[in-house]
Amino acid sequence: MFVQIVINSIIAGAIYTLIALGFNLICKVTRFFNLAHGVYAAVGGYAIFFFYKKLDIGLFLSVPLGVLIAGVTGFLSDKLLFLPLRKRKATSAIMLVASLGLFTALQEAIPILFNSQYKGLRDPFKTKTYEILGGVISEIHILIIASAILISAIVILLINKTAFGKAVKAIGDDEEVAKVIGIDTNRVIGYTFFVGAAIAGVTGILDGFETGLMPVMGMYLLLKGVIASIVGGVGNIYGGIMGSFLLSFAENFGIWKISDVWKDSISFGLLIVFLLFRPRGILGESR
Amino acid sequence: MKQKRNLLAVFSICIIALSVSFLLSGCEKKTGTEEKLTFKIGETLPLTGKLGFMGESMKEALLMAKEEVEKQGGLKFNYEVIFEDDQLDPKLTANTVNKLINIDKVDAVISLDSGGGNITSELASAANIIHFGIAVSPTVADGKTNFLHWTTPREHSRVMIDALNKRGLKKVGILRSNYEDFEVQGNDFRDAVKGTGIEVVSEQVFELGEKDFRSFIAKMKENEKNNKPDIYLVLEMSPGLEIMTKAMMDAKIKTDMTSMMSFETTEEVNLFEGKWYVSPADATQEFTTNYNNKYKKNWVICAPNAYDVYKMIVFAVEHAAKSPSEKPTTQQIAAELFKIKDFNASLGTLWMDDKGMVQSKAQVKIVKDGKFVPIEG
Repeated sequence: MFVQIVINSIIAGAIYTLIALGFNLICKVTRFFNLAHGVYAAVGGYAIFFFYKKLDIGLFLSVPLGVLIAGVTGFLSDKLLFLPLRKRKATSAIMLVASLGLFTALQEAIPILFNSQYKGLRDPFKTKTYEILGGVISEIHILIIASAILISAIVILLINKTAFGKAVKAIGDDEEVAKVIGIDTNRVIGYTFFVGAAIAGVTGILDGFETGLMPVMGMYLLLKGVIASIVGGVGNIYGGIMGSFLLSFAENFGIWKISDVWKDSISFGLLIVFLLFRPRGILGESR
Repeated sequence: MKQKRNLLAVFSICIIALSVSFLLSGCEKKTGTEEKLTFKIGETLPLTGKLGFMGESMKEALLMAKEEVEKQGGLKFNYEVIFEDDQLDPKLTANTVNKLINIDKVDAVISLDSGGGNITSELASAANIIHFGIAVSPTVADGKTNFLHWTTPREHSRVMIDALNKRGLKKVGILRSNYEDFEVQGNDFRDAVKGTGIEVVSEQVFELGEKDFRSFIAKMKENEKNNKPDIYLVLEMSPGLEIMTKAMMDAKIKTDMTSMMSFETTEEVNLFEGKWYVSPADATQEFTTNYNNKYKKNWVICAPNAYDVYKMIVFAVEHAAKSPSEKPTTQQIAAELFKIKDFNASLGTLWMDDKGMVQSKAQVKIVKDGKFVPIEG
C-alpha cells in the first residue's frame, strides 16, 4: 500500500506540475492570476476528442493539433482581451475578473459544442498495467510522468538558455525596464500565453486520457495548479514543480488512514498554512 | 449641445422600445387565449454542468408531456412551464426556486435530487405552493403540499437483496459518493440487509465530483486483504462512475460490481457490459418510442419522472378546479394528488401513498449488447 501511495502521489504531482508550469509562466510575465488557464486545458482535451474521436484522425496528428489549438486559444485570449486591458493600465483585479469571465464563457461553450455528458478517450480494456514493488501503474500514468519530466526540462531550458527565456525573465523582473532595453514585451507576452496554454492543453489531453473529459474539468485542474503555484512560489518554475509534489504527497498520504472526502480539505488546508506562514511560497521571492 | 441631443435621442428610443414591448406583451395575452387563466409550473434542474445532459432530457420529457396534454384539449387552464438552471447545486437551487416563487409567481414547482428537494420543500411550503420532488430522500415529501416521485430506497434495497440472494452473494462492499441521495440509499440498504444473511463488509465514501480515485482504489485493495466482498455495490453517477470504474480496471480489481440507479447515467455502456443492477421503475415502450421519435435519442434517467410529474400536476389541477374562472387552491390540488390511484404514466401504473410518495416498482436489469435489459421484477 505504501508503494502504491507513493506511485499515486508521483502521478498526481506530475499532472499538477504540468498545469502549474503554464500557469506560472503566464503569471511571471503578466503578474496576475489567469483563471482562464484551466479552460485552456479543457480546450486541449476537447480538441483532441474532436480530431481523434469525431474525425477519426490518428493520435499522431490529433495530439499536436489539440496542443496547437489550446496554444492558439491562449495566444488569442491575450491579443483580444488581456493586451487591450494592459494598454488601458487595468489593475490586477480587473485582469483577474476578466480572466474569470473568459474562463466561464469558454467553459459554457463546451457543452454547447459537445454536450455536457462525460466522454472517455481511451479503451480501459486495452490499457496495459505494470507492477512495481507491489504497486500498480498503467501506461497512461507512465506517459503522464514522462511528459511532466520532458516538458519541465524543455521549459527550464527555454527560460534559461534562449533569448525568449531571457526576455520572459526580464519582463518578469520589470516590464518597463524590459521595454526600455528594446524588448517587444507585448509580443513576448503573447508567445508566453501560447506556450503556457499549450502546456495546459497537454495537461488536458493527458487528463482526458486518464480520467475522461467533462466540461468542468478545467476548474479542477486550475485549482490544483493555483495551489501548487502558491505553495511553491508564484511565478517560479522550480517552485511550481516543488509545490505540485508537496501538494500531491500531502493529499495522498493525508487520506491514507482517513476517508477520501478529506482530500480537498487537505489541499486547501495546505494552501492556508502557506498563505499564513510563508505567503511567498517555498521558492518565491520575499517582497 | 450635441451631447444633449444624443442623450435625448437614446432616451427616446428606449422609451419607444419599452412601450412597444409592453404593447406586444399585451397583444400576446389577448390572442386566442383571453378566456383562460394561466397555471404556472416552475422546474429547477441542471441544464448545464456535469449533469446538464440529465436536466436536458428531463426538460425535453416535460415539454413532450405538455404537448401531449395540450393536444388532448379540454383544459380549464393554460399551462406555462418555466425552467431554471441550478446545476444540481443546492446553493443555486435556493436562488432558482426563490426566483420561480417570488418573481415568476409559479403555482407549482418541480425539483430534482434530495439536496435541492429539501430546500425546495421548505420554500414551497412557506409560499404555500405545490412542490413535486424527483429525489431519493423521503424527507422531500414532508408536509401536506410536498410530493415525491421516485422508486423508494426501501424498494430498491428489497429488490437488490432478492437479487443478491438469488446469486448467492453474501458479502457486499459499498462504494459511494457523499451525494445525499446515495447516502440515503446506502443507509437504507445497510438497514434493510439486517437478518437477510447478507453482510455489508465495507463502505468507502468519496467526495462527489472526485476525479482522482487512485488512492481510493489502493485502500479498496488493502481492505480486500482482510474482508473481501463478493461484490461491490456502487452508488455514484456519471462521470465519477466511469472514472472510478476505469481506475478499478487499471488497478486490476477483479471483484464484480453492481449498482442501484447508477449505470443508466453513463454513455460508456461498454464499461458495464454483462453487469446486472437494480433500476428504478422503467419507462413504458410507448414513452420510449415517443421520446426517441421526437428527439432522435434515448432518454436519460429521471426524464420519465419529469414527464409523469407534469401530467399528475395538470391532472390534479384540472380535477380540483370548480370552474375555469378560478384557479384551485394549493390544498385542493394536494387533495387531488393524494387521491391518485391507477394513474397511467410513463413509469407504468402509479399510485400515491399517504405520505405523498408516488409508488413504483424497482427491477433488476442487465447491460446486454449496450442496452439496459430487464431480467427480473
